[in-house]
Amino acid sequence: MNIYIFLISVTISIFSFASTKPEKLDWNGIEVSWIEDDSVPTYSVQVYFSDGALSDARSKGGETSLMFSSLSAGTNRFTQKEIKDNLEYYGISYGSTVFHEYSTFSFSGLNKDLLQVTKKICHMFADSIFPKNEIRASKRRILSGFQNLVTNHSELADRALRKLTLRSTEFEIPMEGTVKTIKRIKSSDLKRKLTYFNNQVKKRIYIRGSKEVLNIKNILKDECKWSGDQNFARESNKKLNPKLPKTKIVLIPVKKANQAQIRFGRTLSLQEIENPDLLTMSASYLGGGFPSELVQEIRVKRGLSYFVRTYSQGQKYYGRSILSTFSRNEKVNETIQVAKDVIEKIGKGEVNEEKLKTMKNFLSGAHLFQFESNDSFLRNLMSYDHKGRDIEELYNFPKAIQSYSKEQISETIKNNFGWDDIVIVVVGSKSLLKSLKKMGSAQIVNADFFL
Amino acid sequence: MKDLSISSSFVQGLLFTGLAMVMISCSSPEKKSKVPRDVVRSIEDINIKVTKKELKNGLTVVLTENRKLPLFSFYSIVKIGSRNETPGITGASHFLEHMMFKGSKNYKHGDFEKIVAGNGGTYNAYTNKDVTVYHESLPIAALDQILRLEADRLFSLNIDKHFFEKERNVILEERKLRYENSARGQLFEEFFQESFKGTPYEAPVIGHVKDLKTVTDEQIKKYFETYYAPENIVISISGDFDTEDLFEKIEDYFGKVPRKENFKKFKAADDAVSEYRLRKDWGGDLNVKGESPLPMFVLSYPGYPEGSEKSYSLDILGSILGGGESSYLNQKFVYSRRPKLSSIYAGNYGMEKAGVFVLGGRLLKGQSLRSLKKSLKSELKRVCDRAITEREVQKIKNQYLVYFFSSIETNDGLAELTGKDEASYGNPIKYKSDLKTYLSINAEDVRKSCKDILVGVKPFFVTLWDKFKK
Repeated sequence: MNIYIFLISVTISIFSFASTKPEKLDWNGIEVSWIEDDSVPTYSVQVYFSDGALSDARSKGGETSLMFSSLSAGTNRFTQKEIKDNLEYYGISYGSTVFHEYSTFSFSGLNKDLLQVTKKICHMFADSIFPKNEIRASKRRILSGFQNLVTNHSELADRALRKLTLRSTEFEIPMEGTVKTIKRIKSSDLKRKLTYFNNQVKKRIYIRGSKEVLNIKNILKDECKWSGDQNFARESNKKLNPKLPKTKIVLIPVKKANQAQIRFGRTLSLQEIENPDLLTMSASYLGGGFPSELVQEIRVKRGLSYFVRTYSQGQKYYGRSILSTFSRNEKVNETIQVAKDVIEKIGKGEVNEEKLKTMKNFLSGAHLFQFESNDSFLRNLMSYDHKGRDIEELYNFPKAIQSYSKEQISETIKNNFGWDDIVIVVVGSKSLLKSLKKMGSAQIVNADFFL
Repeated sequence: MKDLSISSSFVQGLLFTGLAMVMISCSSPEKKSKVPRDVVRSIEDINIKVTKKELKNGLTVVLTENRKLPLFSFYSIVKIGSRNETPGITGASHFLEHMMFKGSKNYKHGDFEKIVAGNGGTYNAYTNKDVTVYHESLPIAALDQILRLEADRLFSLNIDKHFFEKERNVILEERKLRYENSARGQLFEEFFQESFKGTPYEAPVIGHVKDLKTVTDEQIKKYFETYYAPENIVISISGDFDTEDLFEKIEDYFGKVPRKENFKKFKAADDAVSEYRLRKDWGGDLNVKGESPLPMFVLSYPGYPEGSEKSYSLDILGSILGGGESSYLNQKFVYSRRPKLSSIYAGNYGMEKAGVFVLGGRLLKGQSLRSLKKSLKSELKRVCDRAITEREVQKIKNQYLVYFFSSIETNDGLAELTGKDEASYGNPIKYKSDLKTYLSINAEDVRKSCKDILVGVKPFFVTLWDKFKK
């Protein structure tokens, strides 16, 4: 028997314990959460802004998203080429994510470049001018992306369901905008938007790295000019009252499709998202992996689809329940019917004790993986802070999961996925309309409507 | 299960433009490093306790101790991919991957999911041209159960006819999703067939429809019995365990399976290099009618397998040309004053026995395909002299380092890295010398590789568009 041992010299241990309780710091009035981690010579910084796409005018949806993604388009001193080359030279990852309720900007890289990189990031925030020619080109790329959406049936189905279930609410326009709204955005709009985010919107900062990462404190204060005085946080108290389609099923025709994408869904009100862990538990039981009810029925027992998944989750002000699957054309109705039957059966109280136990154990055990990567833990923490949830709830998640009864699961699934309240989107062949009408009222809506 | 053949790993590989190669490329002669001393020290000082052991039956085990959290990740890497399939059974490796979740001698159908999920774990699998990979991540308390489960299915799989037929439908649906209803999938399928015509890499990993419809459970069973031999498998585990204790357990669970007679000889013949020589009549244009309102294209040049010395500098070349918004071709074609494309990528796609250097992208609305082809070809004639500078090379090295450090943060990353290094090169810590090799490459090396593969070579130019005639 041959045995080889590889043990490389010991100076840095990459396996230091993850600190799951971040240290809280106050940087010029901004709340900072820092996880000390010197296991690898890298850092990551995530900046949270308490506003997002809800700050966009309806006619200019996508403005916030375009502003953040165009920060590297040019400043008074540097061109987009110089900025991108400079940032990429350091090997950093950087970028933004915009939700309706909040936005984030993150960057990470090697410790040795931390200060130079942070200065360059601050330079972008302080001095971006959004050159007209660059913004024109960005808009052209975005519009081209919308046009190509018809080649990605799954993404088209997601976008369509989103629009149909949030129509006439303040969340209707997607974060990234639409063909109409993107066309209207001007360079001056983006400058105004950046000034607003810099000078008025509340920020929080989440950092992972060794002690030296704390040296960016003064750069953020002096060069980004961020402080606790900027304290506007977006709130929304409007009642969700989406204008739902007249028919139960909306078919979006795409050419030469021999398979159809299927989505069920509805929006959830503030009341309905009060218990987010129960939403997670219920959606997992219904369609959250192999042992779940829908995967067993649709994929394993009947071979109708390769994929089926359900999701129920909330942001701070609204939530959504979604069922995603697909099937071959001739099995679309059967797939919808099976999903409907499974949901109805559970809604009547038929919750399988053994499957429920398996899914509870799955969620409880998998919980530990949220602490394996410090960066993903910080993202979680940011999300909890945004929703106003105590971080203790994250630590107590397994306990909460184990406490839910069969009745609670049944009731939640019935409420969130009940046939009467959901909208169905099918992206597939036009010829499916006739058979879909057997499932309920159905109409064709062209893809352009959703772009 | 994931099929990383084209629609995910291939695209991902291109997007990372060679970053994945940090983990799996082969050696090249050491050169003097020009990288700052502190960065080199960081690599030198990485403390990962990796232990490798070969069992009597030829199975290789790689263990990486990581006491950070009470968790572990388990990888079984079977050295069998679509290149091992014969005509008529294309897609067999991937089909088999699906069947590995359908029950074995001591576990009935459904047990796998119950055990893994019931213990708070996640699992997945993927097949590519060279290997089939199964992986799970769970709390450490479940380790014994997973060892038992994995040993049972790796060596005593039960292929039940009923579940085989169900899975056939699932795979046909997966094929529709990834290829037939995806413009990108169609493009890559055509590109592979054209570039690797006549080699075992030609067929799609998921298989041809006619084969998927006709392959029998008996054929898949035979395929399993042929290739799932202890000598053909690497097990890699990273997590919160004591290495010596775990070796004893593995010996117990996996060591009793007998060595397969003459397997080495059989595999050597199966892997004959001559089979993988790229076609001599390389180059030409292929127009494919597909459902994309704007033309999408892939341009390919003969490259090198991931085991070759030249693969390192080609990885860097791919990143210089198409990795990131500041890369040369992105600035020329996407972010220029008169952009022609909405996106472009470039990368060295190296497999175990052959490789290609690829460029790909999608046109912007209103741009002419003919004009794009003309300007792209003329740009590629001068790109080696214009794009490659010491600064550009250093930029890519910095990017590789950041990627490497992020990839070793989790047990999953560690088990995959060390397991794949072992499966490909017989050295689980190959990543160390790979990193050093990357850091030693200079602009002249990259320029030379660039000229070797791009200058004077007519590429394949595969384009997909809904305006083409069938």
